[in-house]
Amino acid sequence: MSDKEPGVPPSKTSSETPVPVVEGRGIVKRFGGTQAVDDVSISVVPGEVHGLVGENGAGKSTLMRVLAGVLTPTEGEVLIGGQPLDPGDTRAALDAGVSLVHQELSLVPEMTVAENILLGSTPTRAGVIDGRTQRRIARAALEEIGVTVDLDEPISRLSVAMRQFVEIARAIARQPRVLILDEPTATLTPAETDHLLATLQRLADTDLAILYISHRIPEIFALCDRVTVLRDGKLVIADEIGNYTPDSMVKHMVGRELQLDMEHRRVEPEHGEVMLSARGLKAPDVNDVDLDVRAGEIVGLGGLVGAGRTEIVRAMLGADPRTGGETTVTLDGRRRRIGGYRSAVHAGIAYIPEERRTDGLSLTMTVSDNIALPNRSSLSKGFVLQRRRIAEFARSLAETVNLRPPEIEREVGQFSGGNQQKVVIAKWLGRRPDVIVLDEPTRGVDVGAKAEIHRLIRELADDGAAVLVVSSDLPELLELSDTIHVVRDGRIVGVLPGVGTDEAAVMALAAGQQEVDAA
Amino acid sequence: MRKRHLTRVVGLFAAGALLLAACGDADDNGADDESVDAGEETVEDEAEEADPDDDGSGEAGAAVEDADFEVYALLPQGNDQPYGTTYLPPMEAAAEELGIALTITNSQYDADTQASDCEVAVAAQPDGIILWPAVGDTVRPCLQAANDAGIPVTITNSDVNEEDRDLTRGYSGPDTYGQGVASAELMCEFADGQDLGIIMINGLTGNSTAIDRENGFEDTINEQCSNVEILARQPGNWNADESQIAASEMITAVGAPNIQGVYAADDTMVAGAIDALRSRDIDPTELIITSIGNTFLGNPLVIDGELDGTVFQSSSWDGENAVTLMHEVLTEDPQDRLVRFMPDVKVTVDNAEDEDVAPEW
Amino acid sequence: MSATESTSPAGEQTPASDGLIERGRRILSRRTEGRAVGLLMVVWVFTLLFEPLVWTSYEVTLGRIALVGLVALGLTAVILMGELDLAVASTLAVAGVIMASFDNLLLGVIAALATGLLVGAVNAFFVVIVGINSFIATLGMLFFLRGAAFVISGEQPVRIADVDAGIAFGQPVIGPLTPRMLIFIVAFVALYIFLSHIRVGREFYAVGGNRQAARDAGIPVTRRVFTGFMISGFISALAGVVNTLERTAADPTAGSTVLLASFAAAIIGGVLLNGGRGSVFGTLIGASALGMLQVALTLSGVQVDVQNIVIGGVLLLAVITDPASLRAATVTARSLMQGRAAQQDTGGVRLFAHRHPRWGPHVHRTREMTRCASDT
Repeated sequence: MSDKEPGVPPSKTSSETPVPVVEGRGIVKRFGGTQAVDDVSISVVPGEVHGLVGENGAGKSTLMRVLAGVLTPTEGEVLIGGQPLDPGDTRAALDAGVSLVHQELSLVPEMTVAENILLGSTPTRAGVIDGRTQRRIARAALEEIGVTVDLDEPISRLSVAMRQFVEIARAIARQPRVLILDEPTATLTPAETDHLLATLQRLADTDLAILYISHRIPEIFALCDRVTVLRDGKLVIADEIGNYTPDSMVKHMVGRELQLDMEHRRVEPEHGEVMLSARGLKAPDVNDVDLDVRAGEIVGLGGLVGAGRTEIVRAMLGADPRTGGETTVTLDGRRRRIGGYRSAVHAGIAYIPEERRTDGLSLTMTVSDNIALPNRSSLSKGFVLQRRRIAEFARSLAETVNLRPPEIEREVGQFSGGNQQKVVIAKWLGRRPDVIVLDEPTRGVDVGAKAEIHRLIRELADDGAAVLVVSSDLPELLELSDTIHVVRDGRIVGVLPGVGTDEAAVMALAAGQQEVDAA
Repeated sequence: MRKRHLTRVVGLFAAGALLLAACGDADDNGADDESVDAGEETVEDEAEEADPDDDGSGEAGAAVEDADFEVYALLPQGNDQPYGTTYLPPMEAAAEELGIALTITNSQYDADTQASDCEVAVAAQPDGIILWPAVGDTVRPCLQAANDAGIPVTITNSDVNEEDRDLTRGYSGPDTYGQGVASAELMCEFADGQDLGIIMINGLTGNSTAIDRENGFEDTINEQCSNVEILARQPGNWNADESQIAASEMITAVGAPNIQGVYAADDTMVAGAIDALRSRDIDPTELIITSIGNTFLGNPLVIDGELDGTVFQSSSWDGENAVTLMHEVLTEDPQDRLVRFMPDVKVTVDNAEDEDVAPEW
Repeated sequence: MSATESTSPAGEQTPASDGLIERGRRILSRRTEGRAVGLLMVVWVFTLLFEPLVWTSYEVTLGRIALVGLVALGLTAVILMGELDLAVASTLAVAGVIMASFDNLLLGVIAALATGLLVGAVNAFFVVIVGINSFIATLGMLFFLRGAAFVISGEQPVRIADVDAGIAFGQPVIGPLTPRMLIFIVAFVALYIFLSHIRVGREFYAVGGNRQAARDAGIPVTRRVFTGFMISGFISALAGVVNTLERTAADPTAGSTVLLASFAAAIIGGVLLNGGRGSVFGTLIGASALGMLQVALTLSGVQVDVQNIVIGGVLLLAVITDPASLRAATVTARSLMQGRAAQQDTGGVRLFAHRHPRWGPHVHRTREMTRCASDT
């Protein structure tokens, strides 16, 4: 790997500005009406580790995919080593030395480590696979990142973390000039993360350019030379790492003024008895969680993607198997344990999952059928569903949630995302739940529908329901919640009051910034 | 790791159990003598006894050690078809009586499977092989192999091609040509000298049974009653629906008033033709209609008077004689090829309810 | 961190030091044919005990294995890519009929094999170019070809031009091996090499295992799918030619038992229907187990219906003992049984640490972090 880029002069030592290995100029990327990336310029020079940070949805992944030639920019251009890249040409970008390590794994499970590392460029001799060369290159790439793994092991038998390393080895084996990594540590343990960071540092010392995407502040400070901060698709600031402090970086990421709509905030909500309670909850990615939700209270679960919020909720409700702890629900003064998900539903808990397309709705069924689904027993005589009662019921609920257009006999799949979410909520409103759990209730929802859904959630709480909301949207969390629990690594790392908390405080807890301070 | 391994082992045991269960099913009654004997003979014994057991005829448990001969019967159908279901019990009963240990295979009309069954049979070196060809044109290699191994072969149900017959020792089964003749004789009888225009519905084009029956019928009409005239003919492919369409087309082509009779090559097709007549508001009882089969479908039609006459093809005769013919070959070693045709019993309204022509399939 | 310090040479070193037994065990554990081998052993034991004729007249058994297995070999290539080819049996029938329709035997064979390639190409066209699900596309092809076989043959068996040549074709040429067995062996060896040592064939696994990854890596997926279907079509046609020659006539209804038997052989052999996993070696073992089972049951005079029950049971066993579905089951079982001991076993990520002792300390560190985090 030492003779990797003969054309690029060693840059760290040279005093003049080196030629960037990869450069984006005025990149704009629109998806339909959404502006994912808005006029961002970025450049990475050899030997540099360039951090790209931002909140969820800030446009980091989109920008990276444009730079790697996977996406065609709407405006602007990408230059590789000073040469313009044909937009959207993955192969050309690969050949030009841009290697991308995807967030989602792209390995072939039943092929061996060696085969995966050289997939698509398998060395052959007269058509016959040259196993020796294949293993030699694969071994070299693995050595480069300091990982020991049996080359003949099928990927399916490796741990998720090891697969991530193989993925990186594959990128290395292509002898790239720039390596783009999108959240590579999401699946790694702290020890593995440390190892990866050290490896990347070493690679950068050999004049490889690295573009490193993460929202883990400590990693950025440990690794990066320069950091570009994105917010809402726009470039906020790009500067040397030395000019940031963890606090300032978080502020740049969060950026906006408190958008709390204080008129809508619930003033002095009355909280009753604890209705939903978890003690010592354990499950994969859930570590010993205690959580209480009272009648009339809205509890928000905040944290970064992958922190384990959804896992906590699912383990609480028995939707995923628990390995320890228990959940109880108290209704009408009676305390009941929740075993499986069915008993949760039976106890009157409404759960609106994150993936509404897969978990919450049947897209090919009509609105009224979907709404009727959890309410079958009250809408049927014996086994016979009563169509007219269903229609009336659905219509009144659609009105409550302000469904647009209010056509209950349309297939759900034909509605916009926001209205689909309204249908999900309407579906569960029908049961008048005493306990309701919502996972990302407004993801992919437009502003108008968002306000509508927020109003509905508040109404539910005002009526005395215990509400648990998971959200990655900080303003939403702050606006809705009476109490905010911040989750990191499957644990609740802090409990903040809804009133008087700002985004930076939540973000600091979620990103584990305190830990850096302590260290 | 360990757990997975364990499950695999358990799975294997389950596989074994399944196999055991299957074998157990086969040698329910043979269990007693099985422990005494060993090797190939036991194997055949088990096999022989499995079959009467399977169809529940209840005659199992005979003294198989007495079996004088071992015979493989390579059939293309069995309990999966109505004909085979009534063919098997008399066959097994006759075998038991004559001291023949039968091993029966069913190739489900797949010529390749039957060829492979034939290889298995030849390898087992039985005293004889009874063959019911799945596809007549494909049995030559099987006959050749049996001949080379010195195993006599007799044919049942449908005879092999002319050029292959010298490789076989006999045939028992319906005389397909004779069945056509018998049906024609019925037609002549009913016509009683009067001029009669009929339509003819034949079997699957190219099928040897279809050809034989058509020739038998037509030759006899020409010889015995030239007053009967075949106005039109079409294949009905042994199928009621296709026969109905064919009949309907012919009625249109010829003109309903010109038709006084219908001949169909089997009872299934005649039922289709009768439906076609009815849908044209033609009363089938007014017409002279004959066919071949006397099946569960045809016999009631005869009793109702819609079908004037049919020719009995007895599956039990077929099955029984397959074995008796083989027994004759084995015991008497005749020089000439034996041919034993099923008697063509004519069934009309006069005898349709008699015990000896009760339909079998 | 100890992890970051050591950069010991990766790869071969570890397995080499494990010793021969450990190494053999490791290689074995990676094979996908385990269940098939197990089943074959059971069949061996049972046939040796109850039906030694299966062994003494081994040439018959070999013939049956070749009959069951040939089509299954070609099918394996398609299934590995996560596609299905339901048209194999009809291809077999139509190829036989086309071959028998020619007066010149050699010309007929060439035409039949070309038909097989063409059928495969058309199947692939509908699957990858038009984008129809392969189940549907090849189901359509199944009916189309069956109809075509009837039309071409005039709905009756067609005798081949040279019956004696056909009979001679059924005779052993090398030892007890008939041309059918030799063709089967050649096809097996060729496909084995193709799928494990030729780049194009090896990439079938990538196409079936993770199609998007294959595309991303620059593998021409469309061409691979075409190749796979054409292999399957060709081998089916080859089986049709062999059958027709041996029977001296082509039967338009041929192959009625072929489709299910060949799928059964592949599945018992450990080929995953979703693609990406399996081998022709597994298919060979599956076909052997199935073929021996059939011969043994036939020799025992077990009715075809009962035979089907046995084969169906074996097939079900093969599917429910599939490691993939087993893994899911054991994870569930484990989480039920080891509720409290969860800390000791957290699945995937821990496996990594377990395999690489130098990564060990992280457990310790995780606990530390837990403490300091809850302090904040």
